[in-house]
Amino acid sequence: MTDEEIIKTVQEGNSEVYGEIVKRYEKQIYRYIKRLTNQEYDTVEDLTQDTFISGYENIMSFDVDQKFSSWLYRVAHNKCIDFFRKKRVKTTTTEEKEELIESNDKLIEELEIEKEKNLKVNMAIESLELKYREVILLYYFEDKSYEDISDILHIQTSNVGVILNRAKEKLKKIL
Amino acid sequence: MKKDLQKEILDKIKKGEVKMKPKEKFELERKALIGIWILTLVTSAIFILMVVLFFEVYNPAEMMELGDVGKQLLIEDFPYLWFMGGLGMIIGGILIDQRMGDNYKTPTIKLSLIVTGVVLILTILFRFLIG
Repeated sequence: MTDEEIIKTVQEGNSEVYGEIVKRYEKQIYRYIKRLTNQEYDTVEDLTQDTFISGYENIMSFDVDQKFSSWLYRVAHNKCIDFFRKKRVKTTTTEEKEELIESNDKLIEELEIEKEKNLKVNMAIESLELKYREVILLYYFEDKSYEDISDILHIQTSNVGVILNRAKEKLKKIL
Repeated sequence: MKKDLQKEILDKIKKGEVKMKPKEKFELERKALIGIWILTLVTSAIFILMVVLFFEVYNPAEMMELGDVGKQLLIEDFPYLWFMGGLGMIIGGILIDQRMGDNYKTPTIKLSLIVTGVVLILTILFRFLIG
């Protein structure tokens, strides 16, 4: 059963099958939120849960002719933006990140679990502005196409390439 | 994940703590946005019409014949508020248009041309309506 077929069933009143959507996407959404917010485990888990709850609440606004995964990532994106607004989380600098990694074994462990091959690259990505970081994460880490990124971030498809190139330029400078 | 997310969410749904928002709510929101968009364009057309009427009364060609006095009259009496209001409404219309459906995929320049075109057509229409 495709995601869209499942959602159609949920929209028709069979809420039970929404669990299948959670099962399919919980790891992906968790990973995306974790990389985007760089928050602690509990916060990321709460944001992941909020994403799925918000997804369920607003499921009637989803058009089954569209791609569900992009729609769900959009919900996750909105949750992260709300989180940044509420908490006014400041973006940590590369130096702070190095200190953090040295002093925080747990984070290193998490990075190992996530099989991060290049710590420097990750730190550089984390130090990018949100709009650049998000495009990099979606394109390289979540394997999303330009079209999908356009749907998730609500920007023109042509702009995705422009932002991605600028992000790469910024990464080169940092590295 | 520490939590069994699937179970937790389904429990909340079963208990009624999490409820689906009705489809009608989203339909209403969509229609309200279209309504506001139309209202913005109509208002903009009315504001621009005021500027058009000003130029009908203060014919620039005739005013220029009066020399500096004519120029001064044009500058002093020009309906700046109506003009700025009209422009503001056009910008508002473009911003609302970008939020409708999949319009975020459409280039802003194209949306701007569409909105401006609609406002101009409405202005011409209103001009003929008032006789």
